[in-house]
Amino acid sequence: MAIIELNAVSKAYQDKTVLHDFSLVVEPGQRVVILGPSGCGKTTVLRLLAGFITPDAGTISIDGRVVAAANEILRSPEERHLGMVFQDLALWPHLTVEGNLEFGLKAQGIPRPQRVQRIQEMLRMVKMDAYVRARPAELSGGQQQRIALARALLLQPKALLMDEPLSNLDEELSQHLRGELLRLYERLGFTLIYVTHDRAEANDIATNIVCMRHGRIERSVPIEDFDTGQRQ
Amino acid sequence: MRTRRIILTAVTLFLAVVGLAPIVVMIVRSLMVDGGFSLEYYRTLLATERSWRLLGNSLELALLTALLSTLVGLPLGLLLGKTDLPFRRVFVMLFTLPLVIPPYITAVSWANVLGPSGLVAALWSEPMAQVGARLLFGLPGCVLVLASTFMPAVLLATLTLVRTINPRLEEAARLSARPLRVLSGITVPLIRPGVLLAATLVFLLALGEFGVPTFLRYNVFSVESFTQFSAFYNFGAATAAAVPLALLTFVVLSVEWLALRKKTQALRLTPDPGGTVVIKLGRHRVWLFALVGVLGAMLVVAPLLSLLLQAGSPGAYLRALYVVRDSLFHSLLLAAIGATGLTVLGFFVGYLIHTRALPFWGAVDAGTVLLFAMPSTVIGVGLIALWNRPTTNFIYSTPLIILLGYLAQYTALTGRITVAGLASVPASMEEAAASAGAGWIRRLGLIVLPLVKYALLSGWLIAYIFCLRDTGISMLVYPPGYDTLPVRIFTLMANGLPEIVAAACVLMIVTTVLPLVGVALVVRTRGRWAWQ
Repeated sequence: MAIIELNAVSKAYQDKTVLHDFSLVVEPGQRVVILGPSGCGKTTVLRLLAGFITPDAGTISIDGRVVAAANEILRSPEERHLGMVFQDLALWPHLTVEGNLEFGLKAQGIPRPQRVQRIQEMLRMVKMDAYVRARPAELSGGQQQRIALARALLLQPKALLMDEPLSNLDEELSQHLRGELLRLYERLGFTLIYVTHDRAEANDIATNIVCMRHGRIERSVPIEDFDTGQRQ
Repeated sequence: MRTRRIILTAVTLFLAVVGLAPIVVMIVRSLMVDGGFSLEYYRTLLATERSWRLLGNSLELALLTALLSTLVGLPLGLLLGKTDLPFRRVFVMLFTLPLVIPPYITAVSWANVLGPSGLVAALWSEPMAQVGARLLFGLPGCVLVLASTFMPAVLLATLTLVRTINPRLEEAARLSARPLRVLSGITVPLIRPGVLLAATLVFLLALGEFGVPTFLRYNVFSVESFTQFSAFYNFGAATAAAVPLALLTFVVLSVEWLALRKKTQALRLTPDPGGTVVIKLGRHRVWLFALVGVLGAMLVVAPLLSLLLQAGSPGAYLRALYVVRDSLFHSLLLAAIGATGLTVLGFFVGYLIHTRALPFWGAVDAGTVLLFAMPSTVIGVGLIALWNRPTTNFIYSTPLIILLGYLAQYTALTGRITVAGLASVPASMEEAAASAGAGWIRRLGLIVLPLVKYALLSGWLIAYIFCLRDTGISMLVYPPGYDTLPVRIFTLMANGLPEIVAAACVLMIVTTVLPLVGVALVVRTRGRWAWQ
């Protein structure tokens, strides 16, 4: 069964339609990269999935359950159990690394001892266990990326949404973090929907690539067929 | 570059003479008796038990006012700024109304509701009215009036601050938590430094307020200086009584500066991708709307309505207009000139702060804020100390002294609005003009000014409102025969007919609110404003 399904979804902001009749099926464990130029509607797809905005038409399902239909949110963001890494990371500046990770666990009513244990495990996994008490402003760009990723994965989401998280980093660091993301994927086996405008990034990460232009899907292929299609 | 340095230095010196020199001269004068150094005034002041009691009363009043303003203003700001409550803009305008009218007029209107011959007495029983009157004339009444007057400062700060939060920070939290938890765990902590700043400002404004405590017969320290000057003609004692409030303001602002400044700036550095996360109230929308409506009716509509009822017939307005016509003219003229001067001064001060063109920009910023928070009686006494001498009689005995008072106290307003306006103009605009060979004056006139003209216009309107509502400075320094409308109404309250006083208050409110309607129309026309 598909973990995520968008069925004929459309979305417009004021008079401008940014998503036309968009359909996408994501199977568990897939790493789907949505590739396209700026303003083609990639981020809108993630925001619709997360539940921050409502579709104007079509339906969105997560784990077989319809979570949004035309102009209607049926499941609020916290009921969708998705993780997200934002383009600007959106780390809460007033909280420490531990506070950033603990917020979601606390909201879900997880007792303190378990919270601490899970946070420690996750920080070890992203090699940030020495920075528990640090505030986001005290961390480097790469360290902030790791914390944002840890925060999103800590709640064991049904799928992880990533909105161009590496776009502000230099190529070397970006490549390094892509490697770390894949290592985490191997270990935790999550479903990933990753948005980027960078082909190299897409090639490194994807099992499936969805090419978008002007709010529509141009191509949707497994990574093995991507280069063949490009050459043709 | 040289022209820029000369002009900005001249503006800073002018501000120092207008704002800082009066305070310094006042402190020096308070230390002189018969031409020699003496601590006599302070000895007398500090030795009396009454002074300490008054200081205690002042602190209690200021603290309770700041507390109540924050307890009401913060949740109200969140409701009006973060939710889909109906008629949010109408409510914001309604709750802001008391901030733009002189506080003692709000006190008069409350007296018309709770006083011995007020609405409560007319509608309910005599004992009920007695309870109301007992509460009004004293600390609870002062807190109620001042909190309803200054609460909009916290409300507006909250509204502005929630718009500066990067919405992604709240969305990231929404992925795992319900809206209320996001509000308490993310939104409120992020805006807390700014809200505390607003609460500090309310504390200082309440500390320096003397019109309301005078009318509601609650003895506080700010009245002491005014009384020493106007009732006992003891200028030395008046200056000595003003100094503790000046020092207290300085200390509180310094603590605020050290404790909160860094945090607030950290919040400002947060990127603003636009928009704000709106909380849908769902089934709670109706009762919350009713609650806010009742609060608005109680805090704003009822007192103002009581003024209209008290004034009664159109005849009362005509008589009031006849009585206050000269003062009204003085007020309108002085407010217009004062606002224009403040806009010009504020532009250069704002430019200096924004561009950090001179090393002492931080001192200018802190100095204008300090003067804004300084009790108006302190500034008034300082102005008299500096300008009341034969050589400067052309200032002291003319309306010029009122204008200098406006410039001293309100430059922070227009300066800050200019800074906000300039923040929306990329530095490259002026740099491009410079690389094209334009000098500083030409760059300002042809590039910078046109780009911030709407911020300057809104700054002018805000300054106009503050000059118009000013009571403290005008009351102390107005030259004979040139009183302003707030001063005339204050005098009328002592011996005028209640319906004439009420009608004059309504005239004052209308005169003050009209420019606010202008602001609203401009904002609607121009869409988003930098100063918002």
